[in-house]
Amino acid sequence: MSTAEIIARCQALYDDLDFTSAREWKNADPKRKVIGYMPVYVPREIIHAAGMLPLGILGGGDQMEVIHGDAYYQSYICRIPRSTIELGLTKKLDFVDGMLFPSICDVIRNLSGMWQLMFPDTYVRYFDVPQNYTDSIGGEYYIEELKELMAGLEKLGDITITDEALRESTALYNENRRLINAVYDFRAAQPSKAPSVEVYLLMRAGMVLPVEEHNQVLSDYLEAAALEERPVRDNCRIVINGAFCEQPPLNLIRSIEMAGCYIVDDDYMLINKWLLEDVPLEGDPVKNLSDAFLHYSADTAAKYCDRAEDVGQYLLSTVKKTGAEGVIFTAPSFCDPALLERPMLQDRMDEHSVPHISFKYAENSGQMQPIREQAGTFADSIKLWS
Amino acid sequence: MAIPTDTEVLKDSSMLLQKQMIAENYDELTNTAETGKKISSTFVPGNLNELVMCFDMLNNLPEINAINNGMRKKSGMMVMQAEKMGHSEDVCTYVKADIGSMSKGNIAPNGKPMPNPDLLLLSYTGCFTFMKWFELLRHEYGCETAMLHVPYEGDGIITQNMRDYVVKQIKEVIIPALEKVSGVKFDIDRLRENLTHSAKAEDDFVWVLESAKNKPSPIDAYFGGVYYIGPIFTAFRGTDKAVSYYKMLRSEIEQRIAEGKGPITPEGDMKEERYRLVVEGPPNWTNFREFWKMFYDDGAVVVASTYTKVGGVYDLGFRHDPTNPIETLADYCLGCYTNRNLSQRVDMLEKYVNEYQADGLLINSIKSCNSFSAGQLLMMQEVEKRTGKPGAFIETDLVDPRYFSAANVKNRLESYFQMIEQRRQSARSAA
Repeated sequence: MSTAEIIARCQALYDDLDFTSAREWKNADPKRKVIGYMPVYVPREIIHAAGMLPLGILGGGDQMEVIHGDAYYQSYICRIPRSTIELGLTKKLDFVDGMLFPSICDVIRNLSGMWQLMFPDTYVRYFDVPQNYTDSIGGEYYIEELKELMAGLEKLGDITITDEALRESTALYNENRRLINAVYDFRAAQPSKAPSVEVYLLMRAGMVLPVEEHNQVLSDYLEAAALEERPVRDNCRIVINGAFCEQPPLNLIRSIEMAGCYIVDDDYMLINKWLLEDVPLEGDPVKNLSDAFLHYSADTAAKYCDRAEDVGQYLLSTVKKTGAEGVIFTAPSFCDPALLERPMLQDRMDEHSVPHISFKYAENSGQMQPIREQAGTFADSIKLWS
Repeated sequence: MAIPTDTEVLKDSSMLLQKQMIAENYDELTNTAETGKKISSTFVPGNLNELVMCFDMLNNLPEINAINNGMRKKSGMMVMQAEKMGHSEDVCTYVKADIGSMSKGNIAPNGKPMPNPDLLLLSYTGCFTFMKWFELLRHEYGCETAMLHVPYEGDGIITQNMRDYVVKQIKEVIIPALEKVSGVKFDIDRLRENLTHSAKAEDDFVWVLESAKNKPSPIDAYFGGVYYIGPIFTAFRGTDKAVSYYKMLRSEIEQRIAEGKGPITPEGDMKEERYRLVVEGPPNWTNFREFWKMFYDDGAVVVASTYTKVGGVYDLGFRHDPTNPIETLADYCLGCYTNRNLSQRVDMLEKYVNEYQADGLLINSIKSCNSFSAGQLLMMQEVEKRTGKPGAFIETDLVDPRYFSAANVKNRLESYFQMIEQRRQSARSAA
């Protein structure tokens, strides 16, 4: 299968706001349940172990007209909650049996309460994660939270999540993370062979496909992309930071690359790369997931950084690991986590002489010319003076 | 008794006492070079004042500093200064006022420089911004930081797991940090004593809030409420002074009820109560008096508000309990208003509209504060549906004067009052 065929399938999944593939998955067996989740992180292993499909909900993008959703939000609130409400009210999520709202910011947090009020027949959970990373404090709390989530899903599906099932699911997601990291490593090594829009669509496919299928798609892409010759551009290498929740339109990603910047790392779908190492398969599988979160998960603005000296180090290490020449801080308008953290990250980049620029977007941003100009100037400045 | 002050603003004796208490706290904070006392910076929701005092430390609250700067018309420049330094125009203006103030020497309301905190006690309760705010402050001050993560009541309940998590953090993270910074060993009996004071003050505070069920209401539970929450939400909860203050306030309100008086306003006693409102959301601080005037000029009194619950929800029954000193601190933090889910908030508003016989719900939606603001339009719809009373929506900001449009706010308020009148007329016609 060629990269074009693989990406065409991913593009179709991306464009399909009716989530047809997830509906078909559910319709194949009357016992099946679908659990939606919002950015940035939920332990999909648990949903999978319950025999359910984790379905990433990342807003409505730039193709959906938001009519009802705008009536629920003031102008100074980001777009992802309003387009998510739109998805709900227009029945595009009517097949979803449960919704998880992770701890990322107050808007998504409050959206969990809105969902409870607006869709009372849906299982809704605000998924809190510890901001204390000590095993005996945050760890014990988180293990109980995971068990509460499991109990909720067991009740919803009238099933039991066994340790064995959880281990099998963990193994599948370990494989998924390894393949995702392989795609990212491949792009960082040969960015001309893995355009960022393609990598983005590959990752988005993982939001709607069963993990087994996504693993196959990733393997196929790696194999096909390695064989394909593509023109090498005289681009600089940059890392994208701050786009972990509301997603940029595809055209924005394309524009950055066309403006002369190879994206060699990004945080678009952070859930794919949240856990930095394999989750062990031996021992207590719930505790293993907890340990992974506490001790080897990615730093992001949605988390508390408990040591001042560690702020920005994850981003810095990504820059170094990928050989990036600069950082583009690109955050959705009104995104509290990304915009509050940005000055600290910028200071860290300055300390290490890493060039950076910043701009904002919304998921339905249409005007790419200013972004192309800004990214193009940034690329030129790196090539000329860095 | 209303006492004229030099600025011709009329205030009750309790308001003057409150002002004096806050001023004395600023004097203490700015005199630490002489007294050697240590300063803990923390937030209003989930503040652990009873605990902090066990270590002879002073409590500095950045939100209160921002409010002070807002009311003294100084926050606008500070916000813009922070934006010049690279902080986004989209984020909370309390944060930017705080950071902008630092760049201008961090001058306290008494004109003296505010010393750097010795401890950043991050009570992460009900507001995501708190977490990054203190990371930003740590970035600037480089001082000791202790984080207390208070889980959100997503399902509208406090589970044992949530309580245990907070208790453990207080015991194993917060108390050791306070001991380390202060050099004072923790004494649980001292904490119990402070908590006993808290509970006494809370009883009188709740009595005052509930006095608004009278007609006419003797208090304004939003604009006036800001004065009444001052001591209990800041550095005085758990002190003798707070107990005395709320005792005095209560007797003052008792007197008002006996005399059939409405609330005190900056222009004296409110003469006629025409509209009784419940208000959701914080006030605007940069134009506080102008904002208040729009209400009392039209005879509108706020009989209940949610802003007066951000530092603790006492009117639903919670009291600090000296017999369970650490657990009660955990329950206090977990139960603060913005840590409650939307269903709980809607239930509270519905209860207020009904029990305080309000004419409707007004939401002051604050640009800076997603914790309050996200979901408010749905909340308004729900409360309207459940109570049959009309809702209204205005938008301002906390301490950014650029987002206070007096004409827009006044227009909306006047339209709202007209709507209430029309509803009354319709009801009379139907009867």
